[in-house]
Amino acid sequence: MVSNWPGLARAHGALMHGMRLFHDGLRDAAMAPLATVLRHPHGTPSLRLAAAGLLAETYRGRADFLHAEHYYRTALAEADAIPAHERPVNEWYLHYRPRCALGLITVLRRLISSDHRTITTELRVTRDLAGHLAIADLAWQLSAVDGVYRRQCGDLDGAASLLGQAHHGMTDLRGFCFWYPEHVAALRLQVQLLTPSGHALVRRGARALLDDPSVRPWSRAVAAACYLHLQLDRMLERGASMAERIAAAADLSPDGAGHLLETLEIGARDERDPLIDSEWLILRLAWHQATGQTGSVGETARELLEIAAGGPPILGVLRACEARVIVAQRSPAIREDDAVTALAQHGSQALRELRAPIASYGYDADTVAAWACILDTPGPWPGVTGWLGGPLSPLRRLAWP
Amino acid sequence: MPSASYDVAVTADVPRLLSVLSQRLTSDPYAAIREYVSNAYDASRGIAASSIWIGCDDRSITVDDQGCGMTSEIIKTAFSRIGGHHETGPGGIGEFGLGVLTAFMIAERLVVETRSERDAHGWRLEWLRGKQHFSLQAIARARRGTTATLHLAKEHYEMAYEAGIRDYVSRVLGLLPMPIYLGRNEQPVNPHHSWLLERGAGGPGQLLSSPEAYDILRRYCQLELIAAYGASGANGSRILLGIPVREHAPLQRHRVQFFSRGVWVLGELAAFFPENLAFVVGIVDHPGFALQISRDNLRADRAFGEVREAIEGHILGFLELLGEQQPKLLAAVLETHGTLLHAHQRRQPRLRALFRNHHRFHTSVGPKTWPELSKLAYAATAAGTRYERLLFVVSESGADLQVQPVATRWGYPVVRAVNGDRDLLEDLGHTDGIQIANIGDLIESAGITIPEVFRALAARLAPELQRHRVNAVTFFALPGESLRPAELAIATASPLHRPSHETWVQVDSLMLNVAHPVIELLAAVAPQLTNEALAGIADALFAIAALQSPLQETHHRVTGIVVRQLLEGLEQSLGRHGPEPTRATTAQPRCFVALPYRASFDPVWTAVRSVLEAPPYGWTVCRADLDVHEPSVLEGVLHHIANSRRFVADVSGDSDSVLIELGMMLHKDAQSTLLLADERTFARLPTDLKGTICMVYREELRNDPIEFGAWFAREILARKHFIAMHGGRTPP
Repeated sequence: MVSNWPGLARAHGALMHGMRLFHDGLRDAAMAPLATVLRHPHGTPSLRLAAAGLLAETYRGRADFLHAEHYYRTALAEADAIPAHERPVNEWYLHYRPRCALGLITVLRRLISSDHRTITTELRVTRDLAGHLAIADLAWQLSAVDGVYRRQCGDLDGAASLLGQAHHGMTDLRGFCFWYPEHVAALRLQVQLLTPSGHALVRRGARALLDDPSVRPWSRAVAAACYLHLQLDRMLERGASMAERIAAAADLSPDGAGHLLETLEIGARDERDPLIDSEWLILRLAWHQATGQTGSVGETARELLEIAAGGPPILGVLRACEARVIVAQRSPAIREDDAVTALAQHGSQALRELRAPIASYGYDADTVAAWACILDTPGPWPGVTGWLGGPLSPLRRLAWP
Repeated sequence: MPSASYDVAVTADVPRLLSVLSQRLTSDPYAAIREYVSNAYDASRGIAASSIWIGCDDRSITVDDQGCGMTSEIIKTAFSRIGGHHETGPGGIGEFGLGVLTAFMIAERLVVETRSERDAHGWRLEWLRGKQHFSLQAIARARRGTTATLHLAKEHYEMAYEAGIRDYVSRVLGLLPMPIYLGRNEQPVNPHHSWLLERGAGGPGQLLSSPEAYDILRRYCQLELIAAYGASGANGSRILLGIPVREHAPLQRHRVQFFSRGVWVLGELAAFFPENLAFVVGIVDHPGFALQISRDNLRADRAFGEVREAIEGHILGFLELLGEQQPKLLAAVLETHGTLLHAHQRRQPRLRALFRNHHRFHTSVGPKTWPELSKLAYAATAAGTRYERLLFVVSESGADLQVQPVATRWGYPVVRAVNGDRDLLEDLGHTDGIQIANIGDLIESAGITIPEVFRALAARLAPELQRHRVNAVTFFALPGESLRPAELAIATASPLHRPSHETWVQVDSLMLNVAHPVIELLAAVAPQLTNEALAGIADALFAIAALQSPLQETHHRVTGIVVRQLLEGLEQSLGRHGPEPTRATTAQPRCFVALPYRASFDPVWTAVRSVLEAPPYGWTVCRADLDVHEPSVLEGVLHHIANSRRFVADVSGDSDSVLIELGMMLHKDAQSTLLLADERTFARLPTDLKGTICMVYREELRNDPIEFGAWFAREILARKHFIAMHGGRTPP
C-alpha cells in the first residue's frame, strides 16, 4: 500500500530520467539518477529493480563485472520482493526480472565464478518464467546464454547447437531483450573456431557478418578476429615462407589479413571493450611476429597489461599466455621484453587466484598446469603446438565472452 | 579390360533436393562423411577384420572400404532412385536414400569405384553436381570394396582438413563398431568402436565401473560423472546412463545422445527424461533410428517412443542398484540432485523408499539418515503445544537459519532443511508419527522480554544496517548466559547467500544478545552516539554476522577483534582514550612466525625462536598471540607483518588462522616466506606451495624442540635469500 504518493512520484521521476539517459547512450550520466532511485526512501521494489538492472548493465558494458554482479543481485532481490500476486501484471517485473537473470549469469561466467548453483538456478527459474511471459525472444536468449555457459564448461557441441538454434530462432524477430542475433552469431563463430571440425564454417560465417552493413561493430570485430585467428593458424601450420606471410599480412582484399586487422581495429576503437581491444592487440602482435616485425612487442605488452589490469582476471591469463606464445616464436637468443614478463606475472597471479573456480568449470589440473607453465617459464613448452590448438584452445574456451 | 559404359538417369529432382540439403550445411558440414562411412560399414559387416579408411588432400575427401562392393544393378538402384529405399540387410545403417546426395553439399564431382565379389571387374561412377544423370563405366579393379571420392567445390576446399575430419569422425562415428583410420595414422579415430555393441552392458541393467563407459559418457555428455549404468534390450537397443558429479541446468534440452548402431543421429532433446529426472545424462543406441530423422519426426517415431517409455524405469533401477551396491554413492547423489528428485518422489513410490533409507539429513549432530534421525526425536513444547516426539528444523530460506546455536545450547538436535528436505521430513514424520516444528517456535515459546532501552538501540542502528541490506534487528538472551561467554550476534542469511565454501554470506537480519557487555554498553550510550559512530558500529556488527560459521576458529578470532574495536570505538566516541601501543620499526631484523595455537606446536616455536634469535642471526622473532600490543589481534597481525621482513608459517595442523596469516605474508613478500609442513600436510599442499619455500619435516620432530632446532638450523642454511637479512649477523 503506497502511503506517500508525492515521494513515489519523485522516485519514479528519477528513474524515468535515468532511463532516458541510459537509452540515449549517456550511460555514465544515467548512473546518478539511477542510484538515487535505489536510495530513495519512497521507492518501490519495482522501481529499484529497474534502476539496479540498468546500473548493472552500465557496469557490464564497462566490463566492471564485480559491480555489475552486485547490482544484478540487488535487482533480483528487489524482483523477489514484489508480491507473487503482482508479478504477472507488473511490467517492471516481467521485463527486468529475466533480463537481470541473463545479465547475472553472464557476469558470473565472465568472472569465472564458481557459483554454478546461481547460474543453473537462474537458468531454470527464467526458463519457467519464459513460459508465462510474452517475450518472443526469451527462450532463444536463454539458449544463447546457456550455449556460452556450456562452451565454458567444455561442451562445444552443445554450445554450437544451442547458439545455432538461438540464432535461427531470433532471425525473424524484431525486439530483443538481451543479445542481438548477430551477437549470437558471433558467439557461435567463436565456438566453431574452437573445434577443428568447425573451422570449415568460420570463413563463411565471418563473411556473412562482415558483409552485412547492419551488423554492429562488436560482432564485426569478433568475426574479423575469428577469421584472422584461422588464417594465422593455417599459415603457420602449412609452414608458409616469410614472403608468403608478408604478402598475406599486407593483403587488403576483403578476405585479406590486412583488411581484417583494420576492421578489428575499427571495432576496438568503437567499442572500447577489453576483449576486442586486447584481441586486436594480440592479433596485430601475432601477425607482426609472423612477418618478422618485432619492434612493437614491449609497447603492445604494456597496453595489454593495462587492459588486463582493468578487465576480468581470466582475460589477463589468456592475453599473457598468448603474448608469451607469440614472443616465444622469436630466437631464444633475444631477451624477453620486461613488459612481456610483467604481463606474464600478472597472468600468473590471476591464474593462481582463479585456480579453484577454473576447476569448477571442469578443467583438469594438467590443463591449468600447462597455462601456468607458459606464464611462469620461458618457452618452448611441451604440447604448445599451433595457434588454435594446444593449451591455448581450452583457455580461449573459458575466457572468451 | 572391360568396356561397358552407361549413362544412368536419376529419377528425383536433384537440384531441389540439393537446395534442401544445403540448408544443413551449417549444422552438419561433414554430413557426407557420415553417410558414406555408414554405407562403407554396411558393405563391410560380416567380413572379418574389416576397417574403413578416410583420406584427404587439398581438394578431395575419400572414403574407402574393403567390403562386399557393388554390382552395376546395386549402383543403379542406390544412386538413381534418390529418396527410395535400398535394403542393406539386417543390421544395416544406411538406406541409400538422400544420403548419396549429401556428397554434393560440398563436392562438385563424385567418383565411386567399386568391385563386388560377384563381378570379375569393377565399376566407376562419375557424377557432376546438379546433373540428373551419372556415368557408369566398367573398370579394372583388383581389390574388392568401394572407394568414394568427393572432389570438393572450390568454396569448400577448406573442408579437406584432416584435423576437422578427425574431430567430426571421432564424435559422430565414435561408436561405430568398426575401426576407422584417417590418413596415415595407425590408430583408429574411434578407439571405442567396439565397446557399445560388443562389450557394453548387456541384460536388464547393471552398474558400470569400466573407465571406457565413463569416457564415452563424458565424451558425449560433457560432464564429470559419479556413477554409470548400462542396459540392453532384446531388439538390440542399448542404454547407457550417467549421473553427474554436480548439478547442471538441464533446461529445455536433456543431455541424451541418440545413435543408430553406433552412428550419431542427433542429440539433446526436449522432454526426453521425466522433468525431475533430467539431471541424468545418457546415450541411447537403437537400431530402429533412421540416420536422416529430424527432431520433429522423432516424436512420432516408434523406436523413440519405445525408448522414452522405458527410460524412467531404467533411471529408477539405476538408483536402486546404487542403493543396494553403493549406498554411500547413492547418498551423495541424493544430496547433489536432491532438489529435482524430491519433487519427483511425490509421484514415484520407488524413490520414496530410497530417500527414506539413504538420504542423509544435515543435523546439528552430524549427517543422519531417517532411521537414525527418527531415534533422536524428543519430547518438547513448541508454539505452546506439547509434543512427545518432535524434531526441530531450520530452513535455508527462512529467517531462522542461524538460530541453530540457540537450540543447540538448549540441548536439542536440529535438522537443517535444504533442497526440499522440509517436505521430505514432513512426509517421513507423518508416516512414523513424528512432529516437525520450526526452531523459531521454540524461541517464541521461551517468552523472552526485551527492555525498552534495547529497542531504542535497534531503532538507531536499523538505518545504518539497512546499508548492508540487513532489514531487521532483534534481540535475544539465553538462560544461564552468565555462566558462559555470551554470543554477541546471530545472523540470519538471505536465500541469496554465497555457497558454503565461501567465507561471507549475505545477511538479512541480525539478532543481538542483550547479555553481551558490548550490547549492554551500546544500549546504555545509544542516545549519545553520533551518526558516524553508529555507522561504524553497524559495519562492525555486520562484519561479525556476515562471516560464515564453518570457519569456527577464524570466526571467533574475528568476532573478538571486532568486539575490541567496537569497545575502543565506543570509548573514543565517548571521549575516553587508551594508551598508544608501542610500534616496532621496519629497521629491526624481525621475523614473524605463524603457528597453530596448540601445545603440540610449542616445540616448533621454541626451536624456530632459539635458532633465529641466537647468533649468527640475532633476529627479533615474534608471533601473533604472544606479541600483540595493538587494540585487536587482527591489527596486531597486520602490524607485525608490516614491520617484519622475514616470515615463517607452519601449515601443519589445519589451522585457519595460520592460513590467513600465511596469505598476508605471501602477499607482502613471498620470497621472504618459509613454509614449514609435516610430511602428511605436505602431501596435501597445492603444487604451487610445494616449491622452494617449503621445508618438510617428520611429524615426530615436533615432540623434541632440540632435535627440531637442529634440523631447522641446518635446513635454513640452504635458503640463502631467507637468511640474508640486513641487521642480523653475517650467516656462516
